[in-house]
Amino acid sequence: MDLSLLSKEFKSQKILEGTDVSGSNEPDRISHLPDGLLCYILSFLPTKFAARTAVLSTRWKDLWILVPSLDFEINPRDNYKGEIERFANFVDRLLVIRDHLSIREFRFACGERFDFERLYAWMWIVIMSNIQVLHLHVESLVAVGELPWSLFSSKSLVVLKLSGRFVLAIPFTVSLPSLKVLCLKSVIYTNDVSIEKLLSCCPILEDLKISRERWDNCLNSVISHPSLKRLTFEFYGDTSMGSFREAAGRFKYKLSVKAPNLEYLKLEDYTSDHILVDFMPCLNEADISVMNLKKEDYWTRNQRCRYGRSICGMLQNLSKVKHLSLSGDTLRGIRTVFDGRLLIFHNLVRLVLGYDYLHGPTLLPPLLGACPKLQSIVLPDGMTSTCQEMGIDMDQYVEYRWKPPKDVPECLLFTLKNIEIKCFCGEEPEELRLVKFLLKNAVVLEKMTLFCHEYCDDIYSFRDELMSYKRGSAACQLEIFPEVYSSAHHYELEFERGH
Amino acid sequence: MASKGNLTLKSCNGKEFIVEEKVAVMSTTIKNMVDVDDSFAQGVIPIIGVDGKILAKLIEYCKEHAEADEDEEVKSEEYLKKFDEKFVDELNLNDLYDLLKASNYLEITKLLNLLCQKVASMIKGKKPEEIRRIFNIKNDFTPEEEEEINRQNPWAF
Repeated sequence: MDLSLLSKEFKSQKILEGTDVSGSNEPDRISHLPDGLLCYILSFLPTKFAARTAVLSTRWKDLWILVPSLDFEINPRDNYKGEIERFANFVDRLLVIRDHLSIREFRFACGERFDFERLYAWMWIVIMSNIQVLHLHVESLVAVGELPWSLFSSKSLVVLKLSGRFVLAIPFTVSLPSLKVLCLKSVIYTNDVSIEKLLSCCPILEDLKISRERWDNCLNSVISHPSLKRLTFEFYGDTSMGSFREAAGRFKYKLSVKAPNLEYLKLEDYTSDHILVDFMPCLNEADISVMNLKKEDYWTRNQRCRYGRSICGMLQNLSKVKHLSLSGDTLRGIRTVFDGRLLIFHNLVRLVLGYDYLHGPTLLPPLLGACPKLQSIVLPDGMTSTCQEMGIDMDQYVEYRWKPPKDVPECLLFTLKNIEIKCFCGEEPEELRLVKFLLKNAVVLEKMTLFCHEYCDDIYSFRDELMSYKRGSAACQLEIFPEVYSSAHHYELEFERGH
Repeated sequence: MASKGNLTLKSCNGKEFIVEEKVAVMSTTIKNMVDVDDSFAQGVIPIIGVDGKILAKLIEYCKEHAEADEDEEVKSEEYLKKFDEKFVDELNLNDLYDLLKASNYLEITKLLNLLCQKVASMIKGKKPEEIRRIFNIKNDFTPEEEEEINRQNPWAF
């Protein structure tokens, strides 16, 4: 054997893995792992890469075929005829060789020009093979076809994720007794009752994610399920001005959620005109971001109030929540119909509030008053619009200014330990007044953290003032960070030094 | 003997480790042993085929994750992710195989997935010669046989 070649080989091994390779008889331990374990390792690879291991040695030749997880991706830019044909032949051959071996997971992603008839045929085989996890993703703007009816009566299916313009034609008999996770992104519904009908046949469903697009043939989404635990509903819709004008004056899209056992709710809906959420007694966390911002310009005052009332009604039914996040737009919706009263969030410990640039932080005092157990509050968009809406004369929009409440909210006296404010500008009197009020009155506060806005380049101009504010809590730490990109970029400044 | 709430694990080379029960039962195998036979909870649980060094590693991993399951505030997801990354990055190949086999036998699913993911990432996107070099796999195909495999699955290669 050529010794120089050997030493070269080991040298490169050392570089590749940084492992300690000193002898020439380093054993091949990986090939001695049991079949099951090696197959399990290969199941973490896309099938293309698993198949390549066939050529490593005789030990590996057939292992990849036994892997019960198949994962294919055909890149849209590979969509030329020859590549697609080679790929399709590969899948055809693999499915034939595997014969009756069960397929636990099947993931498939492809571009628009893929032959859907062929995918349909594969799916039929896959569904018959005890499938548990099925992900289908088709990149397409137009409808790609219906799904095999057998999919809707799979006894084994646990996770189903469909992404793309599949037409969700639900057969008469649907039964998905094992389905726990369902994800529908950009699918086209046969009609308004498609979602409802599908959900009614998934008795143990726990996790549902629906991302809707406009032109999906559904005006009225009804999400009704007795045991659902997690729900994410996204409806961005078409945000072009033309479509808003077209939709103006009409209450077209409606969302209703009836899920009494829900623990997690994420709602990101910029299209629905009416949102109805039933009472959720078990709710732990809610992340709400709803608006009809642009449409509002075309709405009458009455319609705006109707929308605001629907948002307030929803909030009322989330009152058991422990962690709540409300976007600035959501706050604006609430503010439209706010009459000085808010229901009490008895369980709420953590509150994240966006910034309503029309009304400023005027809802903050009543909200603090409504959360007697609050421990932590985060203001990710800051407390002022000066820096945020650069180039716009905000003064003409801002009608309301923040005023300290007459009574100090209960949470400030007993529970609030942590305040985090991002996008802090430091120059607005409104901001400083608010910080001053919080520092003075939050008597059990442990930490206030301010992250300055990226436009704020001189934190030294206001830090002394902030540091001089009276703190109601002797144990309170005040930290100011110059800017926040991400948590990785934070660096601490020691303000106490030289103070 | 371990006090209440603790279990004693004994490696194949006789090293004993006293660990909290919540840490030990991250292993489904140990959990089943303790559930079925109470004497294991009182006495010493032998961990067959796993030496002291590997067992210590396993315990280190399980401890972090058991504590994170208990208190999300202190050990966030982000913290765990960093811990996991560091944990696998520091392993040499031999430890990696030993831990793979041990976590497979002890059914510590999270760790098994992490390790398999690591091995998979060492295979992904590499040429066969590179993979063979990394894992010391000896190519026992004739050039004709190798050619035949490539020919059968042209899409993969």
